[in-house]
Parts: sequence; structure tokens; C-alpha cells
Amino acid sequence: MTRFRLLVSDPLGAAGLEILEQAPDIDLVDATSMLRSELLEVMHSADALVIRSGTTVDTELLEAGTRLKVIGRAGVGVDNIDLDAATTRGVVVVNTPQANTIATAEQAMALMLSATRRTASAHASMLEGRWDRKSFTGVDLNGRTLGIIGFGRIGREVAARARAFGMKIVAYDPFVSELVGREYSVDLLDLDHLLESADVITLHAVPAADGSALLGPDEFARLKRGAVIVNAARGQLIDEASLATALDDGTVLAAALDVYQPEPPQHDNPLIGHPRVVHTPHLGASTVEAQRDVSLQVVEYVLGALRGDSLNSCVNVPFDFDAETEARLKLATAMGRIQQVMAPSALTHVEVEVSNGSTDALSTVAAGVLAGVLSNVGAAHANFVNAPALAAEHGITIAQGWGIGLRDYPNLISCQVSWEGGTRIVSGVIFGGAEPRIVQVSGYQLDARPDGIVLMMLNDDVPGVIGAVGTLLGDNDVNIGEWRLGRGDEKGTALSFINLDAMPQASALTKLRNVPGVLKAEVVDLG
Amino acid sequence: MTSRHVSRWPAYHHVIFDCDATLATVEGIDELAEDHPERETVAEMTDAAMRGDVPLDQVYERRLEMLRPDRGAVAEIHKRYRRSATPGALETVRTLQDLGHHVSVVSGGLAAPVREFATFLGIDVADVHAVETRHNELSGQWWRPGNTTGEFAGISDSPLTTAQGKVEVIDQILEGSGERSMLVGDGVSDLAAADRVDLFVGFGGVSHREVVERDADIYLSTTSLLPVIALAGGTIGRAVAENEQDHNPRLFDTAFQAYTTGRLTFRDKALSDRFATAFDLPSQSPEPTR
Repeated sequence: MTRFRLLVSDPLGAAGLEILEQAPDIDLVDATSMLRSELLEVMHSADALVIRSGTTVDTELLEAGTRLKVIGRAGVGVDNIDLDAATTRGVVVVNTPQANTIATAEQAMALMLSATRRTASAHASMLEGRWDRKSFTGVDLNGRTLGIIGFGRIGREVAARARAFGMKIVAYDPFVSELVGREYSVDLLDLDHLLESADVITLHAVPAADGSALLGPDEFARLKRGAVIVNAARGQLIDEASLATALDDGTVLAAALDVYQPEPPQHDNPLIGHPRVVHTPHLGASTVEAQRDVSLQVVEYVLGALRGDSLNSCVNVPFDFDAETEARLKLATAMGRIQQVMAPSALTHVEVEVSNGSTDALSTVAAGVLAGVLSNVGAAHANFVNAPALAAEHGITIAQGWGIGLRDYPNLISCQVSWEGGTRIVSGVIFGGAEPRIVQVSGYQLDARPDGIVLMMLNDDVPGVIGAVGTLLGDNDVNIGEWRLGRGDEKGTALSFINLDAMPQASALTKLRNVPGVLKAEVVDLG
Repeated sequence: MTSRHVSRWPAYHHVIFDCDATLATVEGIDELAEDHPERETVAEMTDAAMRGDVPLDQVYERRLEMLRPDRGAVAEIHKRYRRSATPGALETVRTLQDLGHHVSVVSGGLAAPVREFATFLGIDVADVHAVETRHNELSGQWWRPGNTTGEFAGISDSPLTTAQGKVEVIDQILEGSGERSMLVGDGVSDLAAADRVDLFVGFGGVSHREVVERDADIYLSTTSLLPVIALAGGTIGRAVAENEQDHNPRLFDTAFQAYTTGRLTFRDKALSDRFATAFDLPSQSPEPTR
């Protein structure tokens, strides 16, 4: 059994830790109390690192983690991880976006009600010894319109809860289709229309890459007078100065905030202490259930990725995988390696096609093909994580192709590569969901297993060539496992795909290439 | 009152709508060109094709090759459609569906936004026929989840890129169907399919095309699509609307107003009279209406 060393550098829930402690193949290292310098020192032995928001994963840390394969973020935000640096090093980064969905939705509801019923101020007044029943008259949620900005998992849970309160729901999310809107009986609006029609606005969106606010002065200017703002997502979604102005001039009746920019908020933050603002210190995911689920999920995903069993919720690989996608990845990598050894010069362009395939399948195949292509040109540690980004550095472009595949299989996977002056197509299929086969190389049809050491040979289709090659391999102590032969569309040549039990020596390969009738012979180890 | 039972206007149970300049007041592909330097060229090409001056297939792909819209740009058209939904479109589709009609869309527009817009109107995506665009999923930072730009990579073969394409698609849709059918559209590609359906309604509320007005069975030049409810719902639909709650019989009146103001005209007097008699309207004039 392969053993993995796993570092936990931020506090993790007990449920997840228990699984790690009991996993037979995991050496668990508690790095939660380590100084950064100490962490850097032990990184070299780590196969995986589990963090929350406290550990900064930058180039320095990644450089130190020479064996690092997986980073698990217990939680959603990956702002503390240099994703590009992790990706080019082939390190998988997984997070747990589902685990805190309900907790965050419930927090948004709690904040919404606190804001409309002035719960916090009323509470404070009693602590001051007052019994004031006049100052805290609120407004009903019933009959009011809730505008949900960002209609993903959390937004949809909020919608379900708000509906129970008798609210009309509208949402803005440029990535959500009308079908989803219909399914949830939510009217999908432009941001402007939402701002103009909503009485209560709650944010559940992902912050823009450039950090720009979604709600700034222009947006606050569009609000209905007396709107209520709830933010349990990310501080940078709201321009805090504009919100303060809108509160002061009465545009915004009340706001309820769980998140700030920066966190913790600075002393001069204009919103802290505002009489119509309710605050909580980023507690959206802070429920017993969410913390347990986050720790269980991050452990499940990290172990899956580490053991190569599954890939879930990965933020730098565009597909999840299970047994079937694993076969697809294996086939695609083999196709890439075959293309590389068969090409007379450096590859410049790759086109990939998956008939009847999803985008997920296409991405899987593309990443696999590129990993195969790059592993043969000496790109260090090329894998399906870093190959797409590395390909560009090696001057290899990639595109989705249409109509490349030549054979009539329902789930044909094909790639066509180009080099200066030529192209070649290699196609494969996966039989029974698990058995990869190469079914076409250029114009040659075959049915070959892309496994182990393979001799690819192009020869004149005349008597004696195959016999001579077989004898030569035998003389060199190389046993032949399977020999698949395909005749081409053009007459006179044939292609052999020969599974060998051992790697032939260079001298044997040279002799083989000199056998009369052998036009091309290349050996590739498909693992 | 009794004449309604003697002479009736039949219900057209399968109603097929064009999208651009019919369900929406814009031409989707022209919207793509909004900020493009070739904007006017593209609009001229569209208009020439809709008038029938040049074959549609000659300009269809050329326009898109000029604009090369990525997936985001194509999706953006949906917002334009929604913002520019033809008055009454949503209510017309809903009412017809409530009355048990089957509503389809056959459009020469781009499939992704037409499908989204149709979904918004309450039409099943399986009943939407339009031109599929291809987008390269391996473009941009495609290795990051959700980050592909989906560069334009051409269009799928579709009869709908040709002037006669709707004939083929409508034949397929109606094959084996015993339902009475109606097509509502503004362009010559709709007109070309007029004889494949039981009734063709030319819609001039957005774009007026002489040849369509001249040759359509019925020509509707109101800005609203609501009169289609009466035209497709028929006397039986009106009876249902009058006798059941949840229906608004006033929606039928829009067609009668259009008729009396000359915005609903008929190919010949016989058809016009049939409509008038069925719905107890005064006969329009002794002469054919156009």
C-alpha cells in the first residue's frame, strides 16, 4: 500500500480528523500550531495539505512541497491559495462548496429578519435596562419582493425559505438559465431591474476576479427607497462607503452584514455601529452541522484525489472523475503519447473530439491527451492538472474538433495533432465503461490495448516482414504479448500495434528499423 | 348569437411561431453586431434576406463569420429578446397553452438564446427549432472549471439557414399530426412555408414586408401578438374563455378590435366573412379586404 503524508495546518473538525487518524495509508501530521518557518521545513515530506483560510499557500510553500499532490480547502474560498502556481506544479486543489450551503442560507434569513425587526438594537436596549416598545417597529417580509443576487446553491435555498415567508422572489445570475428560473418559480432579471424592484436584497454571488464591487454608488442609486440589504457572501461584493451613504440618505432602510472588506473590519469602517446595521463576524458557515460536513467532505475529496480513486470539487481541473472518467483519462494519455512518438517533429496543434460527449468528457480527454503529449517531450511531471497550462508554454495550441473521428462508434474519442507539414488522427473507445482501446491510427483500423510497452510499426504490406520482426524481437529476448495489425486505406502498407513484455534495447530497435520493409518503428511505454 | 354555432372559426391546435421580429421585436443576429464595425452591413444582409432579395443561405454563415460570437455573446442575445419581447407575446403563449394548444418555435435565429427566450415564454425546449452554433470548449483558460470562453467555431448544418428551411422543419414537426396548424411569422422564409400549415398569419407588427402582406392568408399589423389568441383559439376557445374562470375572454377582443380597425386583414372576402360571422362581427366591406 502506498502511504501518504498529510499535513493539517488549520484547525479541522473532529469528524474529519478521526477518519484521517484511522486511514491505514495516511500519516497524519498536525501542523496547526507550527510557525510558518516550521511548516516550510516539513512541507517537503507532504503528499497532501489540508487548510482553512489561515494558511497562505504561495509559491514559496509550493516550492517547498516537492511531493505535494493535493491541497484540500475545508470551506469555499480559495483566495489564500496561489491557484496558478499550484496548477503549473500539477497540484490538485479541492474545496467543499456544498457543505455550508444550508448554514449560509439560514444565516441570511436570520440577518434578514434581524434587519427588518431590529432585533439587535431592541436586544441592546433591554441590556441598557430600557423597556422601549416604540422605537423598534419593523416591516413584514410577507408580500415583499426579495432580490437574490447570485442564484447558485445558497441563493436557491434562500429562495425556498423566503417563499415560506410569503415573499415574491426575483433573482439575478448571468450564468443561470431560464429553465432553472422556471424550476424554482423565480423571475430572472437584469441586475438593474432587480435593484429597481426588490424590497430586500440578499447577495450570494462569487466576487469578481478583479475584486470590484457588485453594488457600488450606481447600483445604490437604482434601489427602491427603503430597501434592505443582506450580505452573508463576501465583503468585497458591496462598496461599504456607498452603503453607508445610502443608509444615511435613507435609500437603504437597514443592512445586515456577516462579511466585510477587509476582515476583520477596520476601526474607521463607516458601517460598524451604524444604528440601522446588524453585524455578525463572518459566521455564515459556523454551525455544528456545517463544520462537521466541511471536515468530512474535505477529507473525502482529498483522500479520493490522493489515492487516485476519484476527483471531486476540484477548482483547478475542469472535470470530476470516477472509474469511467479514469479509463477515459488513461486512453487519452495513451493517445497523446502515441501521437508524440509517431510525429516526425514537434507538435504545434492538437484537436480533440468526443462524439456524444459532455463538456466534462471533452475536457478530460483534452487534459489527458496533452499530458501524454507533454510527458514524452520531457516536461517535468506533466499530469492532467498542469498539462493544459504547460502546453501553451511549449507552443502547443488546442481546440475542440468536429468531424475528426473516422470510425462509427457511438462514443468515439479522437485527437488530431499537427506538426510542421503534417497531421495524424488517433481514435479510441472505452468498451464496457472501463476497457480503453485504440481503434484507429491514421488510416489504419485496429483494436489494440493501450497498455504497457508498445511497439508502433509501419511496414510494407508484403510477405516476410512480420516474420522477420518477430524473429528479431525473439532473438533479443523480447516476448510479444499481443500483435494487432491494421491494413490502411492506401494499399501497400500496414500498421502494427505490438504489446511487448519488455522494453527492447536501443540496438534492437535500430536493427528492427533496418529490417527490409519496415518504414517506421517507435517504442512507447504507456504504463 | 346563434350564428356562432352555425358558422365557427376552427381552433388551430398547433401554433408555430417565428422568433425574430415575431415573438421578439429584434433580429438576434443583428443584436450581436451592435458594437461591431460591420454593424450596418450585417443589418442590410439580414434585411435583404428577410425581403427575399438574396437567398438566406448566402448571407447566413457570412454574417456569423464576420461577427464570430463566442458563447457569452450568443447567450447575451437572450437578454435582448427578453427586453424586446413583442407586446402580448408572453400572454399569447400562456393563453394558448392554457387552452390546450401546442406551441412551437421555428426560427432561423441562434438556438441557445431562442431556446432560453422560449423557456421564458413557457415553451418546452423540445418544441424549439433553431440554428445551433458550435463553440470551442477548449478555448480561454478552459482548464479552470467554468472558464472556457467558447470561441465561435461555426454552425451546425441546419435547413434553417436556407430560405426554404422552414418548409422542411415544419413538415417534420407536423408529420403524422392530425392537429390543425397555424404559422405566425414576418419574413419570406415563413411565407415559404405557408402552404405547409393550415393557416399562415403574416405578422407585420415589427417589420412590414410587402410580399408577406400580399400573400399571407391573414395579415396582422398590430404591434401586439394578442390577436393571435382569437385566430388560433377559434370559437371553441372563446367559449372556453367565457365559461371558465382563470381565463380572460377580453383577450379575444384584441383580434376583433384589430379587425374593425383594419389591422387584421384576410386573403379574400370569404375568409374575412367567415371570421366575422363566427365571432358576430360586422362584415367589413363588400369588397375584398385587400
